[in-house]
Amino acid sequence: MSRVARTIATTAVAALMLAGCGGRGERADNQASNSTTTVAEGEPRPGGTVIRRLESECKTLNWVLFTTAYENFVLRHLYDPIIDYDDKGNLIPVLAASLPVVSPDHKRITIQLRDDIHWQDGVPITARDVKFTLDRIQDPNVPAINKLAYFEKLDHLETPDDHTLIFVWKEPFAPSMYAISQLWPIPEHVYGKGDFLTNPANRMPVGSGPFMLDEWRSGQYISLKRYDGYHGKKAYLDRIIFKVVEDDAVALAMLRTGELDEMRVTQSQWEKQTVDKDFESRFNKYQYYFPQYNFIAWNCRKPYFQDPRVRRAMTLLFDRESINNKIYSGYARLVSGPFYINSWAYDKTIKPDPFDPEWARRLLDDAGWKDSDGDGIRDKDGRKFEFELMIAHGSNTAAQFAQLLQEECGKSGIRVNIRQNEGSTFFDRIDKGEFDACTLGWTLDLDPDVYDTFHSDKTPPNGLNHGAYSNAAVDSLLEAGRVEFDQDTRAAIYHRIQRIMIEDPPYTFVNSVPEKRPIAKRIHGVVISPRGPYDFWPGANYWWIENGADGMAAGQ
Amino acid sequence: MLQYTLRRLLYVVPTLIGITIVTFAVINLAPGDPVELISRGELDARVSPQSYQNMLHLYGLDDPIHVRYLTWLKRLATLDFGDSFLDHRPVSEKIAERLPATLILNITSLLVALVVAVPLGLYSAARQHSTFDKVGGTTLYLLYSLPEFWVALVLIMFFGVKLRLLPFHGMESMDARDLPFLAYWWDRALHMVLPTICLTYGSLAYLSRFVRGSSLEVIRQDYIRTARAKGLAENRIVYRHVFRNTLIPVLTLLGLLLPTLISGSIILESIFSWPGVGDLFFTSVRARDYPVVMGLSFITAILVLVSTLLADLLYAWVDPRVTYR
Repeated sequence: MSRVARTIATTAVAALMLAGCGGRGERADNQASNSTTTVAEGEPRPGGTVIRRLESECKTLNWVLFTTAYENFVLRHLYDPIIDYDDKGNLIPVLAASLPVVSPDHKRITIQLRDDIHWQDGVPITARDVKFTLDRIQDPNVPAINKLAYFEKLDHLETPDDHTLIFVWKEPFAPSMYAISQLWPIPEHVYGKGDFLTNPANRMPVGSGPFMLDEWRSGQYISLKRYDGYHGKKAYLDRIIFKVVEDDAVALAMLRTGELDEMRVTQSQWEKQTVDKDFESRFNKYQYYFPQYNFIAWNCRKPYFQDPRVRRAMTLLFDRESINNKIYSGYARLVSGPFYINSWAYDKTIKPDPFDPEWARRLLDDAGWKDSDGDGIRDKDGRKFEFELMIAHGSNTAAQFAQLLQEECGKSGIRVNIRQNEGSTFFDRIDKGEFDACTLGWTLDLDPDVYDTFHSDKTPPNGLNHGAYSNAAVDSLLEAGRVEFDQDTRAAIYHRIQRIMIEDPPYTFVNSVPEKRPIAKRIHGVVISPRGPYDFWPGANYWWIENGADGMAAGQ
Repeated sequence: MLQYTLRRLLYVVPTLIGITIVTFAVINLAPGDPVELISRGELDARVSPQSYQNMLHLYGLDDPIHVRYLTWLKRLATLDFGDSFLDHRPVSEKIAERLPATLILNITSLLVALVVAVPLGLYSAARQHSTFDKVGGTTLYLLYSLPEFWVALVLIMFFGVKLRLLPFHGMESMDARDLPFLAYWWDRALHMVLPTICLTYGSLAYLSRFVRGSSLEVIRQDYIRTARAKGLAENRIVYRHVFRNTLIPVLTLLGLLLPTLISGSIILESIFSWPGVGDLFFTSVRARDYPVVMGLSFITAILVLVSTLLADLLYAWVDPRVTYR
């Protein structure tokens, strides 16, 4: 299961993760935490090959059909988005001529496409291609469920001429910009013929980006070459090769022999296997946060978790600092709310509650949970405070979370039973709300809208409010947040939500764990954005190699 | 013999039906489904129940399980394994694409194992209780008990990383096809060394002990004593009389090895990024690509069935003493 969880980290919208899977962490020095880090020096020059790792084989290079982070890695070189976020998290036009224009009622978003853009076969890119792409996403016979979710609030798309797009939304919806940034057009003249799902172009795409497909050998590698007719700034690298290497240990071995230039490493690899002189002289070691955090969810339907004071007491009882030191060797950063720590929506001045069992016991007493029969377990109205903490099978970190909580709760008169469930059963029970408490992680969008996770309307099956959290103030703030288009006003709204959630917490917010990635020093132009080194515009498209063509990795 | 063959063939029918039921049930009753994996495990969770149902329908997963079984069976009867959930290509095409890689590795490994194991076993048997027999036996048992993935990683670290002698990823180097003919095949041969070693040492140990055991049985036979008594040279006895008769059980065993030739090693293929059937199976299980997993499981099961049958018949054929009623 940890494998699945680790794959989620890049492209996902609010994807569920098993808490702390993969055990990524970061030392206090925060080498590349949030600020943009650039290593490039000197003049970029053309030539050279970079070899990257795919942790799993790609199934398709059709932008509409892709689902995994690895496919996204490759597609980001083959296609251009209409609009995207840059390395600072600002919206920028790519295929669009300028930034989108929002109508006064916020329902119509107009985008002008550039008129000099073309597919890699020379055919111009037009609004019809965008319309075609959106139609395919919304086609019930196309499994594009992960992209469909962005457009469920979209009423329709108007294309009055070849270069104008008007997205018409059913209601004002601030995350709509982010949704449009997730729409990367594919060519109608290629994909419009024959069966969409088995189109040969799914394996031999005609893209719009600075690189084009060179060769795809199933289960082995995907090789891209620079597209010299690109309508934007030409790339420097001759080739980018993505090698499929499933095993972490083997991948690290390949990094050492020069058969790979970069990979994501595990915490133990980071701490123990990549610290020798030879390695450090050849690789820059990056660690950076992602829009992701781990938490323990409390099911507010249960009698003991109905009271916000009890939920806060649980947070006070959970020694997150010690978790940080024990499990993440001091890496990971504690979080106090449901937003990405490096986003404008997160208020850094709001500190996480401390570890304070005394305070917790006072809150529990106030809430009426006292040990009335003297058996060492708190009770109220004849019900004992005993609950089940559900964790996913195979997640070591979750197990350690659970043990620590069990121990601390025991000292304060609460009995915790730990229950391990296999991945599918685990998610199934969460979806049905059949749990007392569970450990999980979220991967977030760049847009901070968390309506689906915390609004009281969004209990399953309508949304992701699995614990049936309900707070009237939070509800109305969430509603306000999605119709407010001014970033500063919106930020204030989310800061207030974060503050309310200290007193009335839906979860115990635990931490955000950085990803660790060594990248060969011979590669220049590496930029770490709020979404890591790849998931922004232009991502790794303008990497370059010191000695150009001579800088080929020391192959075999 | 003919009657025996026919009867054995008749037994195959209920077994076959049993295989399809078990294969289908095990895979389809496991928790989770592919749509769930797309919608939740890997990516977006904000999927409306309606879209989720649409997707289930698209994959034909919204029918009751017995209906799905019958549909699958019907297609299977025409040897149609269906299309992959992942890339919508026919399952047979995906398997065919991966088969050569697995075959070349496994056949090489089997040949190496035979070439080494048979003489080794014979020699050990001929010199039972000698130092060679004892040391050899212990070493082989030791090898047999070493886990493949561990040996693979140790070999990779030593020969691949430290000495940089041998490649350990895939079937050939990048751009190997631009090399001259001989250099290209040399490159491919080098890529086979480590996977072959890892795949072979276990079966080598097993096979050679097996050969030793069955030779010992033969050596105790009366006709060997007769051969010795009439003054035949020991070499001649071993090669003419012992060896040939030892082959009978070995042949049977080889029949049973047939399915493993095709199904491939899941662990080794994924460690060495060897693009074979085992690697395909691993990827498909992880992605819950039911048609591929079911197709592969079914093929493997069929091969086991066929090879047992074949082994039985072979046994009857090579050993005229074996009679069947």
